[in-house]
Amino acid sequence: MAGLIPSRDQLDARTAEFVDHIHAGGKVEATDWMPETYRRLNLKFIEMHANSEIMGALPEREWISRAPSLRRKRSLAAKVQDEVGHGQLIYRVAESLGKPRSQMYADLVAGRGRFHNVFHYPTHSWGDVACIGFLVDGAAIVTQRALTDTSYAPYLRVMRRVVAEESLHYRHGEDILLALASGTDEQFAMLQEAVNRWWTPILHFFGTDTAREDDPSIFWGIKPRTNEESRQEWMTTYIPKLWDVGISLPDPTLDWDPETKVWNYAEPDWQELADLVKGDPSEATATRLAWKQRLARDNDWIREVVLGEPAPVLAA
Amino acid sequence: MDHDEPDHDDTGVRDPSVRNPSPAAVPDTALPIETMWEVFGRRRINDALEHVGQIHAGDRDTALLLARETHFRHEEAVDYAVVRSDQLHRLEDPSLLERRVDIDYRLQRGYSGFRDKRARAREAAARRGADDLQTRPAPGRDVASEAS
Repeated sequence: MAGLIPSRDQLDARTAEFVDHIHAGGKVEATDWMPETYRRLNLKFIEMHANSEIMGALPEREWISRAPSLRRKRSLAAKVQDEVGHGQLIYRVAESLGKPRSQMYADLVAGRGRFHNVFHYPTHSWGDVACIGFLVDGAAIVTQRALTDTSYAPYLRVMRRVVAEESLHYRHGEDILLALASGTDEQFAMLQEAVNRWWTPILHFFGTDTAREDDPSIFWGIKPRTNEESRQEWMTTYIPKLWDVGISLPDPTLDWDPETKVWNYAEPDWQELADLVKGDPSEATATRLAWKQRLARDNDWIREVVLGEPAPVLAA
Repeated sequence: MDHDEPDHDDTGVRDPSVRNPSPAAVPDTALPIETMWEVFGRRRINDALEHVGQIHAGDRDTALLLARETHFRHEEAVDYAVVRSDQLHRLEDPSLLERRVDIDYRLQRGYSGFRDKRARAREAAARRGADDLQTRPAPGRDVASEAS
């Protein structure tokens, strides 16, 4: 990663001026000159974000037909539509950095696109829907709110839109979680089991504890905060809300230290994360990608109607 | 179509020279420029018409439909418009943004009563004998108000 953070004397005058600009809080428009490393890192980051919105809609989509009431069904369907809409908005930003949208979509459908770890897992019960809606979306809100100050202006504008919608999803998730938490013993057990399942994936979601000066995304002004700062903020916001209604967390060492004002927690197994996102696709991901491939084929005619031109070839 | 479509002949098929413009005219990373539309929205009646993003569509009607589904599902606007190249097309039927059915589930106000819901969940926790969990120290924070 060191090569992605150049030292001052390695920079030519134009790049040095650019770095000074973003370090002073300056923004970059799609039409501005930018160093190749900045363009490439931003594209990788934003494409992964867009992929995650699309793949993140799929675990919840699986529950639209099984939602326990008409109100929950409509609420969940609306949320899934919002997430796919976020994907469309964010692909548009990624496209401005030089990769065709059709290529990003083809890569995703063929299993070559990367996306967040939390969307590689299966969903077992309605309790998982509560966890995705409240805890996973909560983690996304924490990281996305930080991105409303990212240096790439087209991304910043889209993130403001996205964060406004995510606060609605937060309420959707909390509503489901509180209903299960105040329900029967069986409903509560379903929720508690799901929380236990999602604890480690959510800790993984924020990434390893990388120092500010070692994180290329921070150097290039893509994200303003470290992984650990985001993880701590999520813990501060969400753990008290779980404890408050009697939900326990599967880490006996978890504790808030009022002296240092940090959460102490057991380090998750980071190899598990690496295997998940870099190894063969999980069973859940393989199934969802097979669905995406089928949908991509079956829905080619829609793309043709919308764009008024032949659909792009989705080569495997 | 009630307006001129200079890029299309009578059969609806585009002039191939327009669909595949020279590399100098269009960056090779973008979809054909004639399918690109700018989307503008007006949040409240006294606000300026603001650029909110771009969409791809093959014709004006599809562009308007996609603009609504992509950008204006949550009462973000009282009016919107799209423009292709140097053309500006305004919404002709404002009733498309009116509520025809109950969409509270898409809106903040559709999710309310959290104080009571949380109190019921606390009571349920107490019934299960989870009091010890509630006494654990944690920093206080009003997330619901931040999120809104």
